[in-house]
Amino acid sequence: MRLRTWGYYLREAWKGIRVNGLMSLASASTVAISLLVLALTLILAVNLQHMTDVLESQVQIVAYLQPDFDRQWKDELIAKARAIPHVERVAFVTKEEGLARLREQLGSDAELLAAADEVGNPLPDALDVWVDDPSHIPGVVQALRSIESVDAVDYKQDVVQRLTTLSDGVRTLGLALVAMLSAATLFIISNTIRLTVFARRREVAIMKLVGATNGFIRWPFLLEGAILGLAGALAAAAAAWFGYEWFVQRVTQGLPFVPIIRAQPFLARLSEVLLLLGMLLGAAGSALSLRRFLRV
Amino acid sequence: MAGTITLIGVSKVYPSRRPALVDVNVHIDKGEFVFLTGSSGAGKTTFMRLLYCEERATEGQIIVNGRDLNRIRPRHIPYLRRQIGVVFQDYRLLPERTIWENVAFPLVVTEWSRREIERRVPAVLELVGLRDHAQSLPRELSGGEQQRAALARAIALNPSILLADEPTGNLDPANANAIMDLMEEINRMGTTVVVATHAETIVNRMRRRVVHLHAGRVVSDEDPGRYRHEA
Repeated sequence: MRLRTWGYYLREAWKGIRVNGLMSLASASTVAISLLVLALTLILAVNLQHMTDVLESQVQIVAYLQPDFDRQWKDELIAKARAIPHVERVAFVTKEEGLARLREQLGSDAELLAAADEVGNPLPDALDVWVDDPSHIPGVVQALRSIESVDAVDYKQDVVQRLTTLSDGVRTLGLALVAMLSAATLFIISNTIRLTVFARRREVAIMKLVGATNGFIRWPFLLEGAILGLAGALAAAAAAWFGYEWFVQRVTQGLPFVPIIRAQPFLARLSEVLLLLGMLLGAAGSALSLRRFLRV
Repeated sequence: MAGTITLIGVSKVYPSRRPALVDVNVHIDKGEFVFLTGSSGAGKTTFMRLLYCEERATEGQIIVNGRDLNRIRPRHIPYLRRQIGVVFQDYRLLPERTIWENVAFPLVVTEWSRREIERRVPAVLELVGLRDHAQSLPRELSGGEQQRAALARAIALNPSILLADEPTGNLDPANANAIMDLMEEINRMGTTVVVATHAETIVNRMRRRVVHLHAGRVVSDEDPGRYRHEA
């Protein structure tokens, strides 16, 4: 294929876009809205997944020991805990370490612990327990409770499970929404291209008559669709980019302990996906129209 | 093979209409000049459309330039059409393009280089006498001139066959004669020419082979040139 021919295709595609100015704008806007919804869904889904991962990697179960626990039995206790099925890792946390950790978590509110300095450390020694999969937490909790020296067991299964459910829901809903919007996008792009095909039916007829190949006839229309898709995708990507950057900044300043995905390289990847998808949607919408309205 | 047309037992039936062509047998040799006559509805246009693959025969065999049109693959049709120039009664020029652009159009869409196009277009315009109108728009020309431009476009790719469907239908006698003279000149350069027309004066003046259609059938196929020798 000659370079000059591509120049010709692009000029013709651009002509088509200009001729249907308003419809072109409408199609590009539809693409933009569809892709923006997709971007929001992705941002939400990816962040929920990220939060779930972060929570899962954190200690899942804390077993507090009897206040009078004798540390000479420490190794035996750890071995017992580790023997429970699905337990991945066990760590012994002394009451001093526990207090230090609490102090750290509280940050500026650490003066709450001033009392502890006066009356002595209220915390017992404890075991941190990690499980291979959150679904096994209840069984492991049961087993830990049956160990004599264990006083109380605390776990975060609820949060993790709820997050997982939420993230599945968002994914399903998002997919459905995106599928619907994609169909709408295909429809409006195919309609726009149909207008161009109609406006140029005379030209197309003569092209066929003088022996232009089908590919030669189709390319300008496909490019027109792809350009409309790309234009919409650019708008969507820009909105997602600046919107998310602003959001990340707000969150990291206001709610520093909420784990969210950092802006980069996530946004770069997201933009790539959006641009590619926009172009494909545009070309596909055009192809759909050509199949129906351009018998070549 | 180039420039020859053969129809063997060709019929064309449109659904829910009487047949457009019935058992047509015609052979046209390379370099021939043939009139296809008959009243409107006799099947002239269908005959032409079959030749440039705008339609497919319902029955029978059509061989153009050595290619069996029943067996031609759709993606090969464009290449066959580059060997066949077609002109119509209504010229079918692109109204928003100049005469130059209209004539260059087949060259552009079949990906000739700019240099080749710049050599070919003036030569063709010269042949049809429109050199001075290269930058005019079709609506700025007379009917005769527009048909010359259409003719120039039809022969731009140097086809072996030229098909003309009522080329003089919209022209006064003087312009009609000029167009026919031009087609004879193109024919003299070796191009096979088939002209569908119901203009008897033209047919009578030219004394060429005439294939006469009536209700889709060939009712006579006569070549006055040949009879002259026989008489």
